[in-house]
Amino acid sequence: MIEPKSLTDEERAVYEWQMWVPEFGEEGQEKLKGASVLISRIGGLGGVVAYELAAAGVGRLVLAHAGDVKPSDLNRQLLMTHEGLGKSRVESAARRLRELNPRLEVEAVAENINDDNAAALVGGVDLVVDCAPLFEERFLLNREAKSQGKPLVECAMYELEAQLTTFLPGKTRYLHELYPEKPGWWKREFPVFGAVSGAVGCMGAMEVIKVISGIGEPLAGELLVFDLGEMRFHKMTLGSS
Amino acid sequence: MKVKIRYCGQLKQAAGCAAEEVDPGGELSAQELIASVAARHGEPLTGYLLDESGRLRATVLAFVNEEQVDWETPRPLGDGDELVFMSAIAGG
Repeated sequence: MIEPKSLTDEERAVYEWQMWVPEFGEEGQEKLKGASVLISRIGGLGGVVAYELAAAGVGRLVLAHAGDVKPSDLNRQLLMTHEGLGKSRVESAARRLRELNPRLEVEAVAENINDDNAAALVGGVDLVVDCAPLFEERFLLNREAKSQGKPLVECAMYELEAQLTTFLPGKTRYLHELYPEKPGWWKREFPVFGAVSGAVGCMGAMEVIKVISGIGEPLAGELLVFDLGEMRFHKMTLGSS
Repeated sequence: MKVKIRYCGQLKQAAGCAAEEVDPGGELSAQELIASVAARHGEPLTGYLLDESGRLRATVLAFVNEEQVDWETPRPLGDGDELVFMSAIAGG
C-alpha cells in the first residue's frame, strides 16, 4: 500500500502540467511521491523508464545494474555519457537522474538481480520494472515479485519490435508462467535501435504511473506488441492459464 | 480459405519472411495449421516453433485475431483470420 506524500510549493509548480490531467490531479502526484520503484537494469529500456519516472516525480527509485559504461551502450542507454565510459553505469545513471530531479531519492545498486539480492530489492519497493537482457534474471525477478505480491511492468525489444505488459498480483500470470522456458536461441547482445528501446521505455514508465496513481487501464492480461518498421501496434489478449 | 500468418522477433528470420498468406485447403484448427506451417518450412522454423513432441514450444506464443491460442483447446480457423507467432524477447 502506497502512502501518499503531500507536495511542496516547488513540486506543485514542477508537476503542474501533469496534475491538469483529468483523474490524476494533486492526489495522483502525491501517490507518485510516496512510491518506490525498482528498475532491473538501466540500459536502453530501463534508463528511459527511470528518466521518465524521475521527471514525473516518483519519490524513490532503486536502480540495479552491474558493470561500467561501454562504447556499445551509447546508441541507446540515454543515462550514460561519453565522459562516463569505463565508469560505473549505475553511478552515471544516478547522477543524470539527480540533475533532472534533485528531490528524487535514488538508490544505486551496482549489481544485477541475482539469488542473493532479489528478495531484499523487491521487498524494498512498491513496484518492479523488468528491463534485463537475460531470461535468468527476468524469471528470478518475476518469481520474487509474484511471491511478494508486487506489480511488475515487463519491457522487451528486438530489432524494430517491442513487447510490453503489466503483471498484477492475483490478477495476471507473470513472465515465468507466460513463457515457462527461456528461449535457447536468445543472445545477450542483439540488434536494436535506441529509438525502439526509448519508445517502449516511455510506455513502460506510463504503465508504472497508471498502476501507482490508478488512472487509465494498465496492460493487465494484454501484451502490447509493436513493430516500428511498419508502425504496426497490436494489443494481444493473453490466456489466463 | 485464406489465413494470414505473421512472424515476430527471431521467428521472422527463421521463417525467411515477416508474413505470408496460406490456403490451408480445408477446415483446419490453429493447432493443425501450426503443425502444417512447421512441416512446410522445415528447419530452422520447425525447431523454433515445435518441441520434440510436436507441441508449440513454451518460448513461443501464438495468437489468432489477437487472442492467445491455448494448445489444449482446438481453435477453428475461418477465412481472413490472422495467425501471429511471437517469441520471448528481452531488454538491454
